Amino acid sequence: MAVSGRFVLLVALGVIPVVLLGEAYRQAELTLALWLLLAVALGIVDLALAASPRRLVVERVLPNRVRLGETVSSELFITNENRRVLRGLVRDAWQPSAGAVVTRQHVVVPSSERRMIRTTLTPFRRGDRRTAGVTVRSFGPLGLWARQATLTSPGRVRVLPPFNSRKHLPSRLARLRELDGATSVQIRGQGTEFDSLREYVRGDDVRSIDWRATARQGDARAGHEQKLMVRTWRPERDRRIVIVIDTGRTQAARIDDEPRIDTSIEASLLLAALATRAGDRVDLIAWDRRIRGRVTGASGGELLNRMVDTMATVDPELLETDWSSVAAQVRAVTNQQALVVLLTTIDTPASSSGLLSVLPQLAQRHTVLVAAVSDPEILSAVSQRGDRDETYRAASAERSLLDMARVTAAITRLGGDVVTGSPSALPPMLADRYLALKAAGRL
Amino acid sequence: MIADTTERGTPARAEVTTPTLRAAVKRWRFWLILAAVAIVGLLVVAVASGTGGGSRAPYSITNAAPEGSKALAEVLRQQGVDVVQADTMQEARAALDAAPTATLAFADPGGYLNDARLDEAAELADRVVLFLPGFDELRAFAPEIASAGAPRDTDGVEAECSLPAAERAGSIIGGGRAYRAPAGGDAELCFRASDDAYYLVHDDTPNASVTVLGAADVLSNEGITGAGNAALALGLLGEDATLVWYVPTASDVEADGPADITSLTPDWVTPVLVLVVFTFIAAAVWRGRRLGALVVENLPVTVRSRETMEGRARLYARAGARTHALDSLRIGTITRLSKILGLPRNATVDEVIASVAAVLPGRPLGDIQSILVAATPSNEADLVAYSDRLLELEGAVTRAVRP
Repeated sequence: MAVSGRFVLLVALGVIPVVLLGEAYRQAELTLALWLLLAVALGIVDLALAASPRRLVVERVLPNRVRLGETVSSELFITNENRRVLRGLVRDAWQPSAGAVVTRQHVVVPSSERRMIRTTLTPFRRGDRRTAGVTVRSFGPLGLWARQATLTSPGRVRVLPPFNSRKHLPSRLARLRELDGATSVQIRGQGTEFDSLREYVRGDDVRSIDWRATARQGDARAGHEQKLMVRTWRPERDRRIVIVIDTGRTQAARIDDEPRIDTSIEASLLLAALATRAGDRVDLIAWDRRIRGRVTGASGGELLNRMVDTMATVDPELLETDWSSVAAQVRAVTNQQALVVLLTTIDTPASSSGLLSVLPQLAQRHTVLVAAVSDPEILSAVSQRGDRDETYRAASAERSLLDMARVTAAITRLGGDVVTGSPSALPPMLADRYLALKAAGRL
Repeated sequence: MIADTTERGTPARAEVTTPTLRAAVKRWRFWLILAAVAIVGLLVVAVASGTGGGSRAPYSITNAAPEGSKALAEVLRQQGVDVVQADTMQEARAALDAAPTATLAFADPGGYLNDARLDEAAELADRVVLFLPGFDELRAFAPEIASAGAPRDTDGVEAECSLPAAERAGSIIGGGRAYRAPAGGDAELCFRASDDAYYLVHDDTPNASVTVLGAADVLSNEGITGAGNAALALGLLGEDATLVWYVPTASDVEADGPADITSLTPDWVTPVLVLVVFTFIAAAVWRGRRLGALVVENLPVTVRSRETMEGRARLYARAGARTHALDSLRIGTITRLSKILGLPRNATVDEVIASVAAVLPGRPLGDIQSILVAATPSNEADLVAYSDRLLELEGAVTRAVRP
């Protein structure tokens, strides 16, 4: 049961008869008692005439998934099975970070009819956003008292990572096409494989003439003009890439108001989008002390689909990442030589010791690339030395940079490769490094 | 990339999580019953103890406590005396006017009446019994009689006088106050407490026949059963058909004070205030009733990444680690300088200093060495100054190498 503001107003209006009759007939107490009785009686009548909020059918139409930053509308259909009109106040109980602008709406549903309530959601956090139920407050015809009930009607919207770095994809794909056979590559080297034989045209590198094929061509077509044959090459395909996203405690830190893990997800999505177009096979593991998410054996659009779906619900855990098992996890994904991309944090030698200890094992079989987010604030703090506090801060920032440099040097010595960048720069930098590795044939 | 699928709930009547009234009552049944039992029990105890509504004042005939006089009044009523309780002088006067022959029992332990009012009270009735009067009351009712203090001898005081009620009583348990009357007067003195002090003094004044009773136990519920106490009390007070029992209350003071605030405000003020209270209650219910339960959500921790850096800076500052801080700055500068100058990664500090001196011919080598290695900051102003010089040196080298 609930009362409305109108009822409060009704009670308050009793001051008029109390003063007037109290002045005229000296019956103020009696008037007060009668007025309160009248108000309560009206309330009871109103309550008795209100439609039952329990006799409703609630149906929900909801998009399954939404990318972070986009807006969806959740539709709620309410069918009134009462014989009375429902004058209701309806609240759809979305979680706060689902970003519902209006959570309570008035609705009038005549008997045996259906009305829709639309809630606009703009989620501001990745993951599953849920609503548990719908609370309906049903007022009587006078709008004084109301009946109230909460109806279970679970709903869920999966909020996917935004993949803002997809804006870098077209330029990287163009670079990939340059590498690929689309623009003819005749330079033989590491990272290319034999594509086809074709006739020499002016401008081709003479070094790529295949004399044996030219001779064979001559044999078959005796008497004709001799044609020179050249070999063409194309970049290696069907390489394997294993992306390991660290979901340990260091990934919870926010840089430029974005948690490290979100940057890691952005970088992994861009890399996967690029690599799957390049014909490589991408697998993903989200790992701290156990597997938080895993995508294997997918390619093309489905790969990205599954990656965003898997990573949508992964949040950093307050755990130290267990690097010693990472090698085994990678081995479980592939036995071949692969590019292993570790998206983690490079901080201090002490906190990176786990990572450093597993690197030799990984680097023995695979090409290892460590990608980490660096903090642009640290870089800017180094050159700010206005007063005493800022100078100390600059010294501390220098110390941090020094620590990172030491870890980077250690990783490089152990056979890994390092990419660091600010949250906005890391995804394209990682994609560029991948292209460079591909061009160099180190996959 | 993102499939545009929608989820459609099943169109069935939803499960209701809010309990019905019946279910709520069922769930709270134990506590409701407990509360009802407690309230009923309290009522029963209150009624049984008989204190409900009774006065707490001494000499009050509605006070059933040891110091009250309810027992006396009840016995008088059983004997056919019409005992009327009067709380104000108006009530007392009305009751006395209504009854042709009446006794006024008067006591003012609270001292509510002033001298003028006491004089007025003295003229109320023809027959007056005063209980433990003070100076003011004696002056108004019986100026002949004087107070004689509190006697020590209390047990089994004999009547020794000709007053019928006292004779019948024989002896009483004393305690309270004693009174004396001037020798040679026609006052009756009974129940002698000491030399010339008596518990009961009867005197006829121009206004009325006044009996002053100083033995408190004669009236009280506690003491009335002792010796001849009851006989004395009944004899004194049961003489007439009507007994007006007048113990002044605070209402007497108000009656002759200045006009108070209640008589000046309109009648409707209190009801309006009550209405405001009810409006507040209604508004509290209106705003207090939640539209469904709160929604629970697990939020991630927010960790600012620069916290470690800031913390270390504060640590340096608090510890005054000037040399340490400057060394950090120097290592950073030297690393960058060696990069700018194109030296190998494993170049030593001396090689860097030599290269810097080579590109900056205007500066003495010792100066560069002092900035980059040797100088120790003796205070924090030094630290800031050295750090500025490091930046300046770095800028100069950059300009020299890449003009």
